[in-house]
Amino acid sequence: MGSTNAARLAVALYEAVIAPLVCCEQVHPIDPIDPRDATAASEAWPLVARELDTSRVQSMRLRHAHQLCPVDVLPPPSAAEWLLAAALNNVLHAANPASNSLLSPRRTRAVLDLAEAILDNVPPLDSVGEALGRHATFARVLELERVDVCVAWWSGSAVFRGRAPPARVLAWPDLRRVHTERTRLRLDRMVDEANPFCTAYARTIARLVGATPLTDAATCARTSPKFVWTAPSLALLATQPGAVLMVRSFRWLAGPAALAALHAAAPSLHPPPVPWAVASVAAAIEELERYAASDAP
Amino acid sequence: MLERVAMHQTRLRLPGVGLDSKGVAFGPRGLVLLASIERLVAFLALYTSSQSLSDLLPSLRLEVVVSRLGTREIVLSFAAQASERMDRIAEVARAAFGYTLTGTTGHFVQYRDASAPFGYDVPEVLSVDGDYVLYHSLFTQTYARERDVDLAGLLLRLRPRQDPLFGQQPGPCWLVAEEGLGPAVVHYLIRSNVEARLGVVEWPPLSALDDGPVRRYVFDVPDLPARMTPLFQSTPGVSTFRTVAPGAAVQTGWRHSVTLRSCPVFNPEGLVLFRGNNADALVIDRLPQLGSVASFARVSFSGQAGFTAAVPLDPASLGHVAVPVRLMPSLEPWTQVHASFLPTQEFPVLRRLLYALGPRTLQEARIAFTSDGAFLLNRRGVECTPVGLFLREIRPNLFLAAGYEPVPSIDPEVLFRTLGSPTGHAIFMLPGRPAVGVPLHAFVPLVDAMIEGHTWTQLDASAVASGLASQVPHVVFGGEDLAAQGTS
Repeated sequence: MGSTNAARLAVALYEAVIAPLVCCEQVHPIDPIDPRDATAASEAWPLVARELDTSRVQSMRLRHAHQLCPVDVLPPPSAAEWLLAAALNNVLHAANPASNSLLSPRRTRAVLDLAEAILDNVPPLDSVGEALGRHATFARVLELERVDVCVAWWSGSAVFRGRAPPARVLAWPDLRRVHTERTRLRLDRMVDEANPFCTAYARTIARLVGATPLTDAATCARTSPKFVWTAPSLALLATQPGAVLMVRSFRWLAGPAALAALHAAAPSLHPPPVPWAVASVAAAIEELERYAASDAP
Repeated sequence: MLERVAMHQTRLRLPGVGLDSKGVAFGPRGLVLLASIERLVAFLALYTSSQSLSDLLPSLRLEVVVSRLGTREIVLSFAAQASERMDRIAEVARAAFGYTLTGTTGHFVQYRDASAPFGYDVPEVLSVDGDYVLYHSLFTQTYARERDVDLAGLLLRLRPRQDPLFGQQPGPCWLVAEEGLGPAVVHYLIRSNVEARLGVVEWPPLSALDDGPVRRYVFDVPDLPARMTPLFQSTPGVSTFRTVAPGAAVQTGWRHSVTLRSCPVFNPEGLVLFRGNNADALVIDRLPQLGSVASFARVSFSGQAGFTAAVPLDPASLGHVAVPVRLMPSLEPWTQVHASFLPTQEFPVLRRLLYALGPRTLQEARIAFTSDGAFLLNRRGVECTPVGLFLREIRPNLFLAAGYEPVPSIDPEVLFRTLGSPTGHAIFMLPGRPAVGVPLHAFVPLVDAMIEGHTWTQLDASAVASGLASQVPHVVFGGEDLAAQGTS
């Protein structure tokens, strides 16, 4: 991919996925992204960032970070965050029921494979600040919802998944007896359980969330994908500042249900992936239990 | 030496002692032997702190007994009724260094303990003279009864001990004023619009040198405002009492050694006032008729039968009559500390402190930022945010710096009215500056202030930079870099 195309892709990804995700607005996924294009876009971003106003997104990222740490300056999204955003874009494509057609029956599988390949390129955490930056960008990733609109009229019905029904379908509501019902589906529910790619889709989301360990901890009480201890979260827990941020995520953002989620995640530590994992997790749980006793009404 | 009663044993040597349904050696009366009056007081204090004496009182006898060696001890005897009651009393007696025995009117044997769960029996019954023959594993002793001890008299003789917290909360209380101060207290209560009922009680002269009976004014105040409690406590000749049991009240700032609520020995139609400062208790055998203090208000008409029509004046020509209210340091205990004021220079401390608070405090506490500083409100108490100047809530939405009081003393409602009764505002009175009113809608949850922290204060970046720059370890397990796996 040429540098011009990479810059164009970076701007499109920023405006369609990253900015709306951080600022809690509507996300409009762009076309599926190839892993090489994702890497090129992440490298091209610093060149085009000077020409765009990123202050609003940076301000919102700062607010997400303030939930855990009184930091007043955050670096712009790192290359890893660009790759995660590209993977998220592909995951949202895979969740679109219209992506499969008679002419391309394996398109969903292909898009998920692209997302997995991009996630393979995500570098491991190098510092606690990097974990905080990833959380600042992806704090609300599991709050993404797709609105499905089911429109029924006197002679039929239609479901519009993730898009607004056309005006002609809603015309003359009284005469045609139009009935509209909206359903909100969270990111982990966007693919039906009957879908053959449901398992692969859930695994990709788990990898995506696991790559940002503070977001993983902040949403540990979620029902799906279940919280498990991952290498990034254990690595972050191994440092004292990282452990402080992890405990704050569990205590403040996940709430009282965090302890139950941590106990439920205990089997993921057997056998222990690293010798000190059990001791680090036990220390975190002990600290949370101490806080739970003092936080109880 | 005593013999332990064995399981399934059917006969005992000590007359009057049998076996109950559980096989425990058990007589119709229980007895506690205590070495001195002090031990008896300790026993009563311990017992009444957890249970009532009312079920023991009908059969309770307190006696001073003399042993053959001439030592005087205290015997407390009562109807045993059941081994559960005896077990409870034995536990308390053990804590008061007393011995618990069971038996009939004359002969008593040691009650069961851990070494003899079914109790004890005597090898032989002593044939000696004496009102009480006590058989214990440590001694066998006979005692002669010397005199009875009156429980009510004993409680009256006990002096209350200091407890500054007792009676500080608003609530019903009794006021007792010396004869000379009575009318002044009456008019003070009327002026302050405090409801009360008044009666005058007489006692016989204290000595032959007194001219007449001792008179005191007794006020029954259903709801004494909190601001008046320290005034009456510090005014000589006036005392405040809180009812602790039917017919008994204890001076505020003092506490009786025995839980009087558990000792229904005083006449509920009378009143016993336990006074502090080593003074004797005041006993009112029967409360006098009480009348409303409003009936004692003096009304004068300047000797005129009618009235003179007043000539209205132009309001502009009227001068202002103002009483300057100042905040002066006070030693009053801090109560209702629901707010704090933080000058702007303390904002960085507050911002760092926010990250040490619990989620409940972050959700419930609210903060408003002004040009002078921030005001923090937390109805559950602001002790968890130990920064700034604490403020007491003396009435809803009126806060006064803790450790200060308005001078002259003024009713909080009057103070609030004087400030214009602003609705939708919280008023804060700080020493050395005018009252500050903050609109209630300006208060935001503390968690919101935490998220917007960079807008109200900037922190030294170096404080967190080192932590964020901490390198995450390169986690490798089984020859594979776990950190690169993404998920395990």
